[in-house]
Amino acid sequence: MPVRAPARGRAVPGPAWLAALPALIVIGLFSVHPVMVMVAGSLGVGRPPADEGLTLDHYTRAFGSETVRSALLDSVLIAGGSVLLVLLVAVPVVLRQADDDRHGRGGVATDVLLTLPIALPGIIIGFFAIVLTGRTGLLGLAWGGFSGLAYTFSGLLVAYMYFSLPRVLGPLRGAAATLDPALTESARTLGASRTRVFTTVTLPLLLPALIETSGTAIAVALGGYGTVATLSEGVRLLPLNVANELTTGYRLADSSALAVILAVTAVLALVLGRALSRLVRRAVAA
Amino acid sequence: MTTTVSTDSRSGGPDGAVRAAGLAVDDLNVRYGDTTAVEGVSLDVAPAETVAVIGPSGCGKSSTLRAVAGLVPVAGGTITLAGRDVTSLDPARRNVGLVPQNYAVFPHMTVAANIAYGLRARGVPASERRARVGEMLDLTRLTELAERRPDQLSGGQRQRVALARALAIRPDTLLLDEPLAALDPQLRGGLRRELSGMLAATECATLIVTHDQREALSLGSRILLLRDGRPVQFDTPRRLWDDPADAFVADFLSGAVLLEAERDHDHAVVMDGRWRIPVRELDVRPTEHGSTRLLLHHDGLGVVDEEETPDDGSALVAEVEHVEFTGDALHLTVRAGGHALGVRVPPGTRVGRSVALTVNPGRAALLTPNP
Repeated sequence: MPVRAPARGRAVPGPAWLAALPALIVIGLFSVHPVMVMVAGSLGVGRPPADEGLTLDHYTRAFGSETVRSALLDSVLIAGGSVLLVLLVAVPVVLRQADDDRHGRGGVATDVLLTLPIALPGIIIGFFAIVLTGRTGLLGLAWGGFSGLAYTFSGLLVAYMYFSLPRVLGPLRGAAATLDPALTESARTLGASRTRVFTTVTLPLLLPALIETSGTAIAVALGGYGTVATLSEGVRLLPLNVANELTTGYRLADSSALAVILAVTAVLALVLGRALSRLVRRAVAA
Repeated sequence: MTTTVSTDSRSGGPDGAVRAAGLAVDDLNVRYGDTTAVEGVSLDVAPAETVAVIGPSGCGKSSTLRAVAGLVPVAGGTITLAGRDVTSLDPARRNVGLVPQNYAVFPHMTVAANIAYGLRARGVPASERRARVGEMLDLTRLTELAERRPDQLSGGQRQRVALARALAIRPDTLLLDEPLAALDPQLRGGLRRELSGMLAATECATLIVTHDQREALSLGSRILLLRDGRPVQFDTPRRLWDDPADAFVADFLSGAVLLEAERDHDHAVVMDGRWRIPVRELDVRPTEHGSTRLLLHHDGLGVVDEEETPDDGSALVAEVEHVEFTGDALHLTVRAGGHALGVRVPPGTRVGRSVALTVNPGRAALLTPNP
């Protein structure tokens, strides 16, 4: 006879989609609908004044424009470059943090300082950059070379590094915590130098997380508006162009096309990060 | 506290010459901040010998092993390996083979690549490396699995990979941290014998850390027992069993009881005279450790029926605290004179609230110091 637990008094669970319904409604309202409106506008089938009829003109104009192309290229270079540079800073930090956590050391103060920029709006980070490396900035007083750096490509790169640091540190810290210290200890006792242990054990095991985190952080940095808006003297990034098309002359369709290009680039970074990370994880661990 | 000397010719351990070849630890101290984890630990392991370090958790046995591997800083004392003072040497340059408790097999490398890791790090030429990896695969019977990834291996196979990886570099000492603790209890017996066989095939001075008495007794040719970071006794399994330094050693190693006793002509007097055992019933043996004591292993005592209880004081009446059926026997925990005693009796024995106990002739030992 089959043994069955008494079913009395137990609520029958509803279908899974019912539980997901509130989330689906929110996603539908705040993502799917605006995206559809945006795409429609960019194709000339949106609301006035973006209702001249189905056309790809706005895209051809966008890609034909030298300003837009260089803004897109700068966006990709600044977002990608700043995140890659941040990795160089972040990897030693998270490895140290993981070690501290295991030994019950580590200060709250360091944690807060390192993750603080995540709470700061991009505009404030741009403001920090001006205070430090603007034309009359603090560092500029120490050495003339720093003066006005904030408005250059390298200045923007540094500001975006600060912007991306907490977005890289957070997820990487979790990944570093899962690395078994016995692996590196064993490698050391087998005669490997610290550098060798890092390149043959630590880095390969951390690589999937590095790639995935980078993809997400690059996607976020691509869309960042505040920082570049504050520092928008020389280098222009794509989010500025999107806003510009709207604020100067309300060119809704052109603005929508640029927004779609920006969104697609960001989603691409995210998806690429995920896919590449999965590939590497399989190559590393399978 | 009783501390036994490390290089002790009586205990069967070789002396002097060991320092040139095997592993020697002298007066080791390890501290974590203000906490002293290891204090005054000395031991020596000859080549091809296996020494087990045993003790309850937190006794400092793992810290001792990690200090030998160079993974924790040493606060005092010296560690000598194959004649070299390695006390403050980098772990990469000590030439130790470490098998951590969870084996720490590199998850992103094949079995063969794991075994070759140390050889690569040392720049061993490819042909020599392949030959050595082949030998190690043979020794640990992993040849068939050479191209497998660790996640396709069982716990026992992973242990063998870690062992092969550690032995491949021809270490001066092999360090095993709780080698069987991560495995299923049902498998441990077989794997213990297997491990013992593989260790016998190496010329390494092997140090095993364990909390499991059976592992220590069966794998170690000598055993160092630690308590609270300090050494209690360092001796052969046989002598630890037969002549424990104190009640802690007797209890920890075999669950035996060690009672202070006095010799009164033909009787051993125990528990302030409550129990007078005829000496002819006892195995009288010399002891290295202080006073006269009665050593009772689980088979040392028997239960006698009430009507047959002798009235000459040779039977001890004890309260029964706990009865446990273990299949082939009943295991009683009884209390008398402030001591808890373990008694194993045949399964059919009638057991009431209290029992009368007598020693099984020849099975209990009276340890008497040499005059």
